[in-house]
Amino acid sequence: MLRHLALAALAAAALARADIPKQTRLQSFEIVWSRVNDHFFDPKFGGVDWAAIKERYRQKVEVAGSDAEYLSVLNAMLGELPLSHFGVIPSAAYASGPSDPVNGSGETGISIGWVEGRPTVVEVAPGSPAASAGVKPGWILLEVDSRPVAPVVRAIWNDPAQRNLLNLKVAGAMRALLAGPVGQPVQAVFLDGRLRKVSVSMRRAPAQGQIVRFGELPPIRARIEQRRLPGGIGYIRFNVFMMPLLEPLQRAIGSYRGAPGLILDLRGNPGGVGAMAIPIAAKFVDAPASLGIMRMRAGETRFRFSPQPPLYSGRLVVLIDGTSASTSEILAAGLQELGRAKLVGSRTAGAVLPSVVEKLPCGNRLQYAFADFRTPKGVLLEGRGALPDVEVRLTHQSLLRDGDPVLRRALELLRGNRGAQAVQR
Amino acid sequence: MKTIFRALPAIVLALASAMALAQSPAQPTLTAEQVLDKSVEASGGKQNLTKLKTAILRATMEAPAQGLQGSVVTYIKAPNKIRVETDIAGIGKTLQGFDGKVAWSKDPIQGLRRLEGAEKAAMVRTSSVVSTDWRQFYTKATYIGTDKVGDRSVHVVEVTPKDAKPVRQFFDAETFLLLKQTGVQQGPMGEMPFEAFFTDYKEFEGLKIPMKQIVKVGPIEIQILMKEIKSGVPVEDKLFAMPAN
Repeated sequence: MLRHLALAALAAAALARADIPKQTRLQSFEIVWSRVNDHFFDPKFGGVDWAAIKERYRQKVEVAGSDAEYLSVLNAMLGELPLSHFGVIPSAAYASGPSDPVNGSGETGISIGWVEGRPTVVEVAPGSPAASAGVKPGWILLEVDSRPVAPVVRAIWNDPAQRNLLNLKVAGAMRALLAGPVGQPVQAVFLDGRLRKVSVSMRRAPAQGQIVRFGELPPIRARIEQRRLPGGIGYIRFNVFMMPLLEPLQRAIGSYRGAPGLILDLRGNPGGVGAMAIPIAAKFVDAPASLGIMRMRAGETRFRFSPQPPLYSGRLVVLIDGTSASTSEILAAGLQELGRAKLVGSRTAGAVLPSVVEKLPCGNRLQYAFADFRTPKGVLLEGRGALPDVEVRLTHQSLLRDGDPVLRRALELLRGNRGAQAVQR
Repeated sequence: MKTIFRALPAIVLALASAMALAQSPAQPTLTAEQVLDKSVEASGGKQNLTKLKTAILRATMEAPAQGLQGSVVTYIKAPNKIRVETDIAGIGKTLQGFDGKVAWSKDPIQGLRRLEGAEKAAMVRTSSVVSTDWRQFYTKATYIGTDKVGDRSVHVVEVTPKDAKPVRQFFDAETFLLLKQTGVQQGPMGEMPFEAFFTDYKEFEGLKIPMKQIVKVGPIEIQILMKEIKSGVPVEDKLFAMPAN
């Protein structure tokens, strides 16, 4: 679950102050360091001298001025382990009220991706403020409320840890910039299909989906959509792996029983509850199987499962891209290795480490990974991701022409009888 | 994360094991059998254990660091029927049971399953809360030595359940109450080392029951607090049967 990292930007204003007492900062720092020390799955810390890091960063915490500076010291320390799922989430991400990033926020309906080296509109939700304003996939985002986005993108690019997850980070940062109070207008400047500057005003609409809370994760809007595509092909998309979505998701899969093909869209899905991949996979596979194995410093957990009828046994295509992360990658890679699905799109984020989130005395939350994850064939997904069977490289032109070239390619695959075959056991 | 919570029905394991008590101080020449027999006496003895015909136990559970909360309700019917309902916010409800013949589990991740092998054996052991004969569940018991749990001296016994890996039990050297248990939890998704601590023993109808249990699995520490115990209440047999779906 990586979405919270985007929330850090929203919390920046609140962090300019220095409200957290020094003693509390040091106490929290000790917990952050110790949790990693005690539970990091590799006892050799990937060659990092974690004991030496403690002394170095403790001194930095002692002299940190603002709460923001203190937070950045903690995140810099965790950044010494160049892996996903390590970070400190600011307490402001959990605030309630008009500035609440979940409850108080409105959406434009725009999804941004990293296309040909530019932050680009990759999706415009039907019926959204952006759709009404005429925003099109393929447009390049330049400014939001007179704020150029280039420096934000540059900051991500200049941070090696974030650069590895460029698509995911850019998507999250742009989503945070475009979000805001419901009803409040947002002015965005784009380059359109003819590379002309276009300024668009949109009034943010209420965010879709139900608010889901899970432990110390920030509240999340969870939503699922399904529709029948031409030729009777089913289409299901959900934005996060949270348990309240499981039953609706299982029902949706069941509703396409007998359909000639099914598309499961995991683009933009940053993960969530890891084990939720299991009951979803169990709807597609007709014999006991495994999605992979997570290894802790002591012990391991295999993502084994048995079929959970009613099954969908037709052709299955899973859509992926660089914003498909964590549990999305576990599910996609597992179904691919089992020979049950074809993956269409582009390489996933490669951010696949099981983690927990814990509240610190300072009010911030620590997320840390305690296990790695390998596919049934032993492929480590962290840093690699799931690779598509059919790669679709997005370009501005393909987005302008097709709207959703990845979905189009998936439909071609399913209609052309070149799709994934159901596993026959 | 979900798999970690498979450890929670161990609350009943705690009861089963902790229904053991004695009064004599540590004896360096004790055998494993003697420690285990004393633990049965310590928990209330055969007389009180066999009096328990039905019980409903309600507990809260919490992983404070991770902000997870839930509840555990356990139904028991002598001699060997059990049903455990675990409900965790954000994850959902897990049901587990044994009706004397069939052991089963139903949860949002794995669905409805009939338990076999080590999982069934564990459920059978758990169901026999009122059993006074530990020999029917363990194929081997070895006295390891003495140790400390906190500031308490303990006898350490390693027991090997049928169809499962050995478990170490740490019995208070004075009271013979179970203070700690370590081992490997075996489930459908693999094996996870665990540590469980039992504290705040209280007497209930002649039985000694730990009111607080702490289970550590990986980075998660779960606290289970017993809130209510009712005995002699009507509990229908069908409650323990494997659901149809």
